[in-house]
Amino acid sequence: MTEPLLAGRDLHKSFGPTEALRGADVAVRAGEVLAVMGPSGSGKSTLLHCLAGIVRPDSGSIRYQGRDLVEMSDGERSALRRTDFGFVFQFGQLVPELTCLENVALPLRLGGAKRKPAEARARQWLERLEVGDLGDRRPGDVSGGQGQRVAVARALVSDPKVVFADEPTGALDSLNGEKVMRLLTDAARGAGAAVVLVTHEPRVAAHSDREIVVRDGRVKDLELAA
Amino acid sequence: MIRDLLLGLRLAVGGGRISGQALLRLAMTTLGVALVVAVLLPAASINTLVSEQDAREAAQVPQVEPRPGVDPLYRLDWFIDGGDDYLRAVVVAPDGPNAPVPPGLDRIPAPGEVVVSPAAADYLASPAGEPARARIGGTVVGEVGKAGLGLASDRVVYVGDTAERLKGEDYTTPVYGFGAEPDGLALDITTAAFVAPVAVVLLLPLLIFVTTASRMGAAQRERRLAALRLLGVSGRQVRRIAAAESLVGAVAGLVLGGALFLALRPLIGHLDLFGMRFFPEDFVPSWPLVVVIALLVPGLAVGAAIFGLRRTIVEPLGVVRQGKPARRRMWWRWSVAALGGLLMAGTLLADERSNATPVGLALAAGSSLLLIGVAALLPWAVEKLVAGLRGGTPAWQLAVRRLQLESGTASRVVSGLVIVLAGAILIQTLVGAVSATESEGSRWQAATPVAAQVVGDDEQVDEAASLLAGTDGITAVHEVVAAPLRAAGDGSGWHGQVLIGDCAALASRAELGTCADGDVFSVGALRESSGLAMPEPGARVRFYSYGGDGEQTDGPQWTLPAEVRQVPADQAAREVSSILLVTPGALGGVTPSDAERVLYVTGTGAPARVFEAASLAVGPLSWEVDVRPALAVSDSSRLDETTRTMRGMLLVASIFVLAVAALSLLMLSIEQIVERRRPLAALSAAGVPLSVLARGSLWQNAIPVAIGVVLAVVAGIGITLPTLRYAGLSLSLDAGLIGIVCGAAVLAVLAATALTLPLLRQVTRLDGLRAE
Repeated sequence: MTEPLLAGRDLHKSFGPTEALRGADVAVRAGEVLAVMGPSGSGKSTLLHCLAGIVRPDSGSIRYQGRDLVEMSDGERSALRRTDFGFVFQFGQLVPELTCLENVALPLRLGGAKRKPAEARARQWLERLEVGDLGDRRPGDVSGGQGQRVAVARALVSDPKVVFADEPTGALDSLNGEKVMRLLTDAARGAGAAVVLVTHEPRVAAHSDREIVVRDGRVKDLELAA
Repeated sequence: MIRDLLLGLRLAVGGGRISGQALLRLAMTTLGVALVVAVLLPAASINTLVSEQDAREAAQVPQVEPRPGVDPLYRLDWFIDGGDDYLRAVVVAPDGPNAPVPPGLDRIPAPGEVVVSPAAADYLASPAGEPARARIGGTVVGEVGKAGLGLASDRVVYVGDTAERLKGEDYTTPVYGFGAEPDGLALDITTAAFVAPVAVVLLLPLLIFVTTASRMGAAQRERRLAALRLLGVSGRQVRRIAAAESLVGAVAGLVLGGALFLALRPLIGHLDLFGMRFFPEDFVPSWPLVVVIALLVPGLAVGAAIFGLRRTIVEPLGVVRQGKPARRRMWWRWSVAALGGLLMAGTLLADERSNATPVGLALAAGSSLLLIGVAALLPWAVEKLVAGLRGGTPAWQLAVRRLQLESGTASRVVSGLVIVLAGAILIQTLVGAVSATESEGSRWQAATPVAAQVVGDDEQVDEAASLLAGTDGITAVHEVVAAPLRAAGDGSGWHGQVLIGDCAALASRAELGTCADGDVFSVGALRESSGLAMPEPGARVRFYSYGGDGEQTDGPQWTLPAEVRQVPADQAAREVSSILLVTPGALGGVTPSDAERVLYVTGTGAPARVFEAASLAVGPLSWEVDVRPALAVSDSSRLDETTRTMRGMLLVASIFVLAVAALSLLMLSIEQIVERRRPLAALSAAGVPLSVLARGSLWQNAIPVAIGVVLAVVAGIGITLPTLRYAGLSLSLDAGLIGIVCGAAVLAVLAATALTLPLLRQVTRLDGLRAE
């Protein structure tokens, strides 16, 4: 068995008196689409935030390509998120004042790319996600489904190793949700990126290669046990 | 309707569950309205203040027409120049038991008795008042009441004397009563030209602050209103509820502002403005203006809240903003600025130094309109300029795109700063120009400068000379005779003055070089600013005198000698510029008709001390001689003090208004961060450093400010030039000062941005991501 790309072991995280994670084990292999399922309040979003280095767990370890995220400084984790990870949230993630094209190009610009090549690459991704004609429009002028596809393009434009998607279709109707999921998983697979997909909908989880279920902050990933 | 308003009031105070943002909005609206009211109420009191002062001064006007049954009160006005300050003494003596008592006095002081105003008492008790105290003498027996004063700072002394002594004096008037009709309010146009833009500078940023504060937390409020719509509240009711919500802060501000005014009013009596202090009880706002303020200021806050909803449709399922903002109406903005510009340009057609009322009014209205116009045009200017901006770093791009999306609010807030900057440039330049003009002229002084001049009738001058001689600290007393002189002819030519004295006396006024009896010296330019040439050597001139009715009476003629030596103006005391210095031998026996004997006193040590010694020495002569400090000694210190007061006031006002504008900017930044917390949190989660977001915020504040500063400097200089021309002052722009004020604006931007960093840090944490 090859070493997982990203692995969290025995993760604990509390918010005040509330224990969100009580010993979670999870592994993400390169290029796979992993669905993290569970009822509302089970701790699946907290698990995603820990794995992505957005929050530091109270205890446990998160290893990514041989490095422990828990040991990293805030700056190092931010840099890692910028270079190696991509994110898709339920809504409201696009910068409203930037055009869709500029939103997608933003991760590249932050990585030091010049505006023109960054925007050329962003345009390719918008076309790949079938929203190439929306480049000059602002997020407020496009539909929810179109906005999510722009968000997916932004998550993938910097060739991340892992895309974290937290309820990416939660604010969409079933038709649009289906389309976004198809495009997200196809594009990620095409780019060789792993996807950690948090959802409580089996229909969305059906797009994954593998599912794990979080209950009361606990999850045992059999892949990791193996 | 009442129910809607009550619901609005309840939402505003939240029944104890008020959110932090709503509380901040309430506090800021209250503070803003309170400050506006606290500034407006004293302004509304100016009418009462001036008319009360006017009425008291009119009641003090002496009536010289004899009245049956009334004995005359002999009265002599005696102006005592204390060197650093002035004091007005009134020497009085009744010529019978039925003489009128001057207003503010319980009785007429007897010979040797003195009644002093509070300000005069303070002055006489101070070390600076020692010379005046020595000259007035007598015993203080009472205080001049408010009825005998115009301002609280008036230094008035009533000195009792005998009717016999006063009767024989030239300037004594018999008074049979007091009181005249008040002049009524006469608007000083020049003052209005200077004050109107200052009022705009002070008020506009405050009004902008109120509108910004009342629109704070709009998104949160709109969501709450949407929830009410779901419960069946109509769109019209929603507006009423929003109005009532704003009304709470506005009314609280009104009460707080009124309380501030009442609490601070007693302090006005201690405030010294260019040596003027007012009676606090004169600061009573006129009732019609109070009603206008009470309606207008809260109305503005409520209006701003409703106006803010004009492009927002509050629906039961949420808030819809109209996609395209309403086209900015430019006609009125351009009209205001153009009208202001035209009025200012129109004044250029009038003659320089023109004191014509229409010119003053045009300047007052023009400068105010131009300031308002520039502030109104700023949003358009920012919009047009940022529309063309492209590229740059991600932080720059975030800022530019944000401004391209909506720059109006930031621009409105910045317009407060613009007005302050433009106004500060105007005022500082005026102060600088006045100082420069006043300090123009020769600063020449003799090695032993003249410290005091003593003027009086022959007998008193002789007595003064003997009193001064041998006084410690006084080394010399030179006597000169001053007389009016004009070119011979019909009187339309040169008019000037001649100083007649021996070489030693004249040498204390100018650098004469060699001098012998019979010499004549002409000081300064041969042609005066009036264009009239000074008499040529050998020209015939005529002495003259003034009659009691101001008519000139011809005196003897005199022919200037063939040689008149020229003394450059910068080698003579300023006060002898453009006059003739004549030694007695040059007059050839001609005696001037209206000669005034003057003693020039010089001594060792500082001129102020020599003046003090001279005043003390001639003290026994009291009002019978006039002792004045040499001009060069007194004027510079008085001017410096005025300039310092003006600069100090301007600095305080600038800092106050800048702080208000910075507060508005801070509120706007907080508002925008709170509204965008979700995308900001998402960006942070994706690894975007906080520094990028902070720099974006900084640029977003800095771009409108930079555009505003450029506009302000242009507008400031634009309104300053015609005003300087009107006042006949030359332009002296203080680049350092403009730099400092602009720097302060930049500092305000940095401070406003820095203060939002904790909030930015907070919203970019995980909490921001989970907030929805």
